[in-house]
Amino acid sequence: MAYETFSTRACASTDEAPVALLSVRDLRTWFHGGSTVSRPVDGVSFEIEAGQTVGLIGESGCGKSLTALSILGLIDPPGRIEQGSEIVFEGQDLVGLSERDLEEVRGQGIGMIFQEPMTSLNPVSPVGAQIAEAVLAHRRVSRRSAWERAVEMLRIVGIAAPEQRASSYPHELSGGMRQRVMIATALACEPRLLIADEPTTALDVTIQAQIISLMAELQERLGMAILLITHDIGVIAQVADEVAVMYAGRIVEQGSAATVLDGPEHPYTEALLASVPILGTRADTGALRVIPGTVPSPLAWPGGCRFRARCEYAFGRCAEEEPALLPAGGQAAACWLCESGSRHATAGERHVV
Amino acid sequence: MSARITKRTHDADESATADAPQRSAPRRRIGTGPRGIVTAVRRSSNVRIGLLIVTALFMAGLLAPFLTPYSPTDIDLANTLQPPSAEHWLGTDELGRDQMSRLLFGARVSLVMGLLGVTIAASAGATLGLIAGYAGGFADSLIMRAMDAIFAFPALLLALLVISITGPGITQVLIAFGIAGIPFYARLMRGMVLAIRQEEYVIAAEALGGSPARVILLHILPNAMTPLIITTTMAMGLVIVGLASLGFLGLGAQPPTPEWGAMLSGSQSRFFTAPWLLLSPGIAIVMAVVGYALIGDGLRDFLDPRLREYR
Amino acid sequence: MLRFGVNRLASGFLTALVVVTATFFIVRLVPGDPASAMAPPTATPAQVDRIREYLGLSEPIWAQYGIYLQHLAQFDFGTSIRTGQPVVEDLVSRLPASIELALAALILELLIAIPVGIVAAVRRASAFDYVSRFTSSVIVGLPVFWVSLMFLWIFAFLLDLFPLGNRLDIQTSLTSVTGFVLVDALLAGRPEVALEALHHLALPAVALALPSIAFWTRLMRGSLLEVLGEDHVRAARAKGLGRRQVVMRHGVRNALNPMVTVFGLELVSLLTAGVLVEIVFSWPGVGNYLFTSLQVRDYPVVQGTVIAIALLYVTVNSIVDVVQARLDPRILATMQAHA
Repeated sequence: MAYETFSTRACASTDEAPVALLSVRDLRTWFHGGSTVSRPVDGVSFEIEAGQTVGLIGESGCGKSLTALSILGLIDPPGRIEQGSEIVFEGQDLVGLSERDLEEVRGQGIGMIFQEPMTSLNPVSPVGAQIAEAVLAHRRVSRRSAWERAVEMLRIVGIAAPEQRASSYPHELSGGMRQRVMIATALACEPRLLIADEPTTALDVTIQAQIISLMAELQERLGMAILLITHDIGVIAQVADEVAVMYAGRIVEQGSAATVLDGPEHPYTEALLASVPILGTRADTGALRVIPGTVPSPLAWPGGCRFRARCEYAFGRCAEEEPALLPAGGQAAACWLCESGSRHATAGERHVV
Repeated sequence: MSARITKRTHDADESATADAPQRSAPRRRIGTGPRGIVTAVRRSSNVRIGLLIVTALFMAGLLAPFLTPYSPTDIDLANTLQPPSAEHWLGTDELGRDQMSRLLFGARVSLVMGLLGVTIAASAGATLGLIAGYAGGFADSLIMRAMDAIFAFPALLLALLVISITGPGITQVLIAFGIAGIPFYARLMRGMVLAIRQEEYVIAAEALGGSPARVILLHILPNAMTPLIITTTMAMGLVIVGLASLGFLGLGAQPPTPEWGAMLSGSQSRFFTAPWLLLSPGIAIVMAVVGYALIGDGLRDFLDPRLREYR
Repeated sequence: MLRFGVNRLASGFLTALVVVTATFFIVRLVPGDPASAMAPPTATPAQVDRIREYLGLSEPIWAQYGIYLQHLAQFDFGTSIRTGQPVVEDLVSRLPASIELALAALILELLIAIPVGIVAAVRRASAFDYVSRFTSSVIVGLPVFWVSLMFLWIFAFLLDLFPLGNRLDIQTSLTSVTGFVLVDALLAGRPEVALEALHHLALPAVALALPSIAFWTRLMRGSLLEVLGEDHVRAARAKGLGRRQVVMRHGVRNALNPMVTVFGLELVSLLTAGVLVEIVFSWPGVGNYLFTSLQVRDYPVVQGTVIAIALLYVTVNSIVDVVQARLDPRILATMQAHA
């Protein structure tokens, strides 16, 4: 009575024309510490449409998690979202929104799950209560109702004996179950967008697969969009529609998952993919390909292209000017090599497999 | 281990970055080594104020003979209970002794006693802690139980108990507080040993047949510096107050030794006749304690990871 | 849960045993004959002999120890030389006064320290925070006896706002039922006496509480800051919970847990510091009793009181540990895992 059922939602989305559910434009999240400024998120732009799964991929420390936290306004001083950043969710700019209004959006419009399910759950509170809390934050229902909803959510995420389980404490559950609880909590109010920050990194490989398929299934049922943040390319390949590759605080490549993963334009993406050995190919038995050098520091991004120091194709222009995202084939890449379209369309010797 | 290896093959992250941080030099938790202390001094105003106060006190004690023409023990029955004047800046006590010189020489007593007490506690405690942490097993349990038992005895009560047997005196108080302080140091050192023991390079050293004892000592020392200093400042404060408390009860330093607490012991009955006697020793004690507390707290707050600026 | 409780009590008992044994040996170190040390100066040789027999001094040392333990188990702490009463009786009659003082101080501490600590944590790095931290650093080290003296001098003597000590005015008489003056006054239907008792209680309670307030404030702040930095607080905010709710429900509730252990320590610390406060304010409690006995070398009292306090400490601590395990289910789990 107080909230919609799943089925009605799923039907509604297919009739609408695709309008960006979330539009992030030039997001800059900087940290001001005394005399230094750190810029871990330095001009990130992407869009997510309703029902879509967008993967945000990159190494640890490239600013992916901070991007997610920025969207929800969970950046605490000394960090802040800089002026000029725009995060438009369902037509409303979240930047500069009052804390009260942001709290409305969190959990109800946008849900989020985190990497470490053990520490992300309150250790002294039963899991059912934590889910019910999310419900009570956004709906005017009785505590009994909220608890029933919590049990229902536990059932939906595939936890057996949910009535009993709801009274368990987090440390009594396995890692996979805890992550399911997190998912239950995040989806309790049926948000239109789920941000998943490294949801499977802390889990065993077998459980990973279960969680991913659970998320896909729930997405289908709820008709929601997912922003999947991870450094695991395998997961992206499995579920993502669109992909954005992040490096040094910026998006360096963007496009549909199929085109980007099959034919990466940006040298970084290419190197990333090449370093993942595929069973049965020559890469499997030889030495792992490695990207030389290290990620530059967010305290002092280098001038020109930020990937230049580690790029095997770097040439003069790379040091002078930083490339914007240039259209290349079916995707977009921030590389001067793509100035005239896709790299692969030109001379074959540049095509590296 | 194998699960971790198979996970690695999927991670673009791990395979892409060639340079892993090298781990050869003794690992220092940020802020615990000598450099951390210097930074703390530079950054924390609390620490600076504390250092200022403590240094002033030490100077006062050191230079006491030069700062006053009177001796702290000279009795002058013609001039008892004089209020502060040009001749006696802080007045005189019930035996005509100059309050100011008693105060200055009293600094010596308190500070020296503090240092001695802390030294006893630190040396005995650190040794016990190292043994407990390294030996483990029965020795560890035994030592820790003893530490708990000592910890169970409030220091003041321990001192009272010792005094009830041996009679009052400054040495007794010292020993009592020294013993009372042992558990703090023992726990600290034991904790450090246990933590460092689990670090990979120690296990590696052991696996290679080397002696982990030397490795542990080498790595403990730099890391233990700041916690040791913090514990010591706390301990100094406690010993000084403890000594003063017992002095106030007449059970610590015996006359004619000028001791701040003892100087206060008659003041209660003299609210009316000589209230100035009440203020100066008390303020001196407070300054000493506050000085040490500021240093210790400032350092401790500095080590606090949450308060550190974003790096 | 039960096993943990039993375990904890057993280990507490062991600590108590160590304390008691140590006291036994320390007191035996008194130079001279322990029996005459325990006897009043006017005792006849026959009386001293009886004491010798009571202590079992003719027996080997381990038998003496056995007798000593036996006495303790029967709550026989010896007889005070000064009052001639059994030490236990003396202690019990004076205990309510000390407890009243300690409780008053404790309530004050919690009422002030917890809110201030919470605000300091939530408004981290604000002026309020810096001021309260600096003030705490200063206050926490103040010697209790000096604070008491200053309070007495300024508020009682100079400003005449408070009485100069004791639990009640000299003229007031009250029949003692529970030993707690406040309670007795109300029971006797004399609320004005209760007010008078509060008036007398005020200064010593504040003096006793002051250093601890500073300590607890910093503890609360530190504990809360630590909890607020944890992942589950961030996750709670991501759920859309209001700031205040997050701080109170997820922050403070979790932050209070580790503070419970310090609680036990605090009670004993209050009793010990209370000794000094009692002396300054002429408060007729256990501390005052101990001090007077010390001055006249009343060994049975000294020994008995010290043991009593140490035992109390151990008991309180064991109980606190059990309570804390109840509050934080994780502790229980780790304990059980190791068992």
